[in-house]
Amino acid sequence: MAVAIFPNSSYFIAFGGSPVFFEEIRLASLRHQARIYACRSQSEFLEALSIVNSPTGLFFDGIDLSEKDLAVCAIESTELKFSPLCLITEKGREDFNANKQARTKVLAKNANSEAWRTAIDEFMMSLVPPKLDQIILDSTNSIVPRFLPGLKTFKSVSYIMEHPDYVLGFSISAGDVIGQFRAWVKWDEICKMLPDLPRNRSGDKVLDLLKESMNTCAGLIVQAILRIHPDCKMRIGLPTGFDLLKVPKIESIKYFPSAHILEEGGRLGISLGFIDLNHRPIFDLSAYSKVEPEGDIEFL
Amino acid sequence: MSDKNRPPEPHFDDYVPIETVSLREGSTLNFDLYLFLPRNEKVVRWLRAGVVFGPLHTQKLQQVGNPQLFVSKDQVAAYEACKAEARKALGSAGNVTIIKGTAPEKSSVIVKGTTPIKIFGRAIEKEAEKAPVIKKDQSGAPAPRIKVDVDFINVAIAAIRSVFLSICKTELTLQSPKPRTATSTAPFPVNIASFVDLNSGTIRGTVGLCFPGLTYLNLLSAATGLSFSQLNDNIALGAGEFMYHIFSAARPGLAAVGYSIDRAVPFLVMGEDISVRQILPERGFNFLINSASGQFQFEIGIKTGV
Repeated sequence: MAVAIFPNSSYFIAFGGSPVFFEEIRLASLRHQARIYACRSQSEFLEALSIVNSPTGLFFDGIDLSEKDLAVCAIESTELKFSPLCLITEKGREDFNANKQARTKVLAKNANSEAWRTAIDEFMMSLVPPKLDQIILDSTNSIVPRFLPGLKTFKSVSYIMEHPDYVLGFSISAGDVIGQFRAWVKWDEICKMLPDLPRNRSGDKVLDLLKESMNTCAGLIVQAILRIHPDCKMRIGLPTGFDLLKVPKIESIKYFPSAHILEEGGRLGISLGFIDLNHRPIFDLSAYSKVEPEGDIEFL
Repeated sequence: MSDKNRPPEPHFDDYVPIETVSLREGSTLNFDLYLFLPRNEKVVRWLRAGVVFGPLHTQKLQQVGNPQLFVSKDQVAAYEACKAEARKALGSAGNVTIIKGTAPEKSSVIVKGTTPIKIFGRAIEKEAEKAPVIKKDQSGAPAPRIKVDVDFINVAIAAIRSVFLSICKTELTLQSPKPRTATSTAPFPVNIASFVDLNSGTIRGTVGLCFPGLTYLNLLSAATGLSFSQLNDNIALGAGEFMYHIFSAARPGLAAVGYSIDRAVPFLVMGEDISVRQILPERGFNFLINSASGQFQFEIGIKTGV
């Protein structure tokens, strides 16, 4: 496995042997836009740990880890004080869990695809600050249908919308905290709601409407966060749009643990996540409560 | 020590870049001097107040390419007093050392061709002849700029050159910057590109590095010492790494000339023939870059005054 070293990029490491596990890891990397370094042998695992200096998480299939492996994991999780460690192993490791502050999810022997999928999704969602999904939901439901009246309400989901063909992205910054806002779009479905506008994918009209709605939505989200943390100086960047039919691959070099919402008709999804570049805990959003927007549509 | 009890790490925004530091050899520093480490994005104290600045310090700075120096905001007054004294002495004494930071110098401006290129109505060649005039606010920090101009471009160029020189050991030749237009495209098919958002109180935008597949593979091989023959997901992250290094290298220099850009994380895209025309804001510049590994393009798309 020849892999160049990319020290500023965030990875997960998956280590195991069963095909079911690796298929679910592959699918999870797509669902969550996470880069998962998959290791099928002990030597590959050790190589991965030597290359990936800050794993965002670790997944283990039902393999009896040696003490040496665990020692390496312990160093990664405690000495380097990086992000949460997730052990998924049929044998559990209660001592390790208790002593090394790792979070362990124990699955049954020969766990099936669904069990793996649920465990991985739950782990990914556990990295997201509580109530972030509620902030996104409230902001989106209150403003986006006013731009796109044909849309149904949005609901929380565990991962990124499937099969989008356009994506709009905004970066959000607040000192060391960086946010990634992505709106996933099924272009033709959105165009059907706007019969008076030209459907050209590179045209301005539909895109402008989407940009304005998402910009306003992101603005409401930032306002909600600023109500809880008024000193965080959070602001939104300019949108960047990608036609996924022409640019099928888009990826950040860092993993943003994100909350995801999806319109009930499956036509528009939004993902938003934050990271702290100094590896400090992300802000606490548990004090959030919904505030109705005042007046007419507010262009932020 | 738990994370809770750990004192906050020094933050880049708490320091004021020194445009030109005047330090007299043999004089005692009455402020702390700091360095910014772009690779780690950390500010570290280099010399404490009370240290006698000597020829060895000058030599050390010269050995590492005279990096940008910083003082903390609460010691700006002490630094200004020291600078005033050094300037007085400059005319008479022979023991004054002027240490220039990495803020753009005249020699770093890369403008070829005979026709002045106008960027937002300002002739870049004319601007390039002058040393940057940086307005200061009350704390001594550069006043925020609301237009991207030649100073911004110089810092970007210097960062691009130094990153590819240090990582890939590759010298770059940059062609004249060209204003972006609604129809401008790269003169080659772009297969992989990385972007980073520019966000500040005064300007917003995106910068991009656009590579043909073969050029990218060659540069990555030069950077890693490994041989790559095919562009794939495993190695695509390198494009983001290149951008990350350029952004980290440029940020302190940009702050020194009044562009206080927020931290950001690059992202990358891959495709058969990516058109970045619609991705970035229309206003801005394109640079065509030649290297031993092939041609690539650096793009700056900006919206100012927001």
